[in-house]
Amino acid sequence: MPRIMNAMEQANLDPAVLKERFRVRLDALLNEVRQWLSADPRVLVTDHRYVVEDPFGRYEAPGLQISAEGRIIAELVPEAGVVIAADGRVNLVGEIDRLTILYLTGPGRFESTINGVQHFGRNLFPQFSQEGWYWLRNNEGPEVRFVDEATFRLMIPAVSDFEVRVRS
Amino acid sequence: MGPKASQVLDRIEREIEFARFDELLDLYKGWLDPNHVGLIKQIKDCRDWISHRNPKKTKPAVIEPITAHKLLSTAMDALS
Repeated sequence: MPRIMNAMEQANLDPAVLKERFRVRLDALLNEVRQWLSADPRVLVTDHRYVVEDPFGRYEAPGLQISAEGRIIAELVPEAGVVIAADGRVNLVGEIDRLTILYLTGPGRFESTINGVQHFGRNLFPQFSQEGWYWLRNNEGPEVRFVDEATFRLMIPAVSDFEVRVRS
Repeated sequence: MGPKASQVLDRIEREIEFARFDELLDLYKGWLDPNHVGLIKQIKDCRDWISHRNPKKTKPAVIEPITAHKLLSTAMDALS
């Protein structure tokens, strides 16, 4: 059995529990995205199932196909229930690009204390603000941005040539 | 040369041909956050899986290259 725990959490949980937790968190993201995109009548969101291969094995998980003007402009594809330094990954895939979305429960704080004196302290994701899904970007290093409606509206044109209309 | 370096060198000289990466990393616990060490070991698992992909083995946790680079460079910063 490979190491599957995100070491930042240190929770001694059963893989079945972790897999179910990923599914719940994934469902929450999909529900939010459906709601955000419902503001634009040109956009059609369809449920789709994808094959995920990760330390939990090979299994199906839900995702979304996002269509407009008679074509798929982007897909929200579940990638893994656990990745190194995060608790799940989803990709937003379009014709132009593929964006990474990670589930974070904390900033990834690393500290060490030697002889009672703090020797080192740094956050892997200093932009972390609250538990949830984050867009991972490369800005001369990893930079994360919480995925809310405004952020997601920026992500769609980043992977396709389609602009989602703002909720009025 | 930082503290513990002599201990590390002695160990490397004795066992370099047989050393396990995991065990060498464990020598740095204290200087590195144990969670940090755990994540670096997972990066090694991921690297080994990519290099020697065995379809019979379960896919390990993977990592984006920019995050791997940050984790490893942060470890070097902590040790310097």
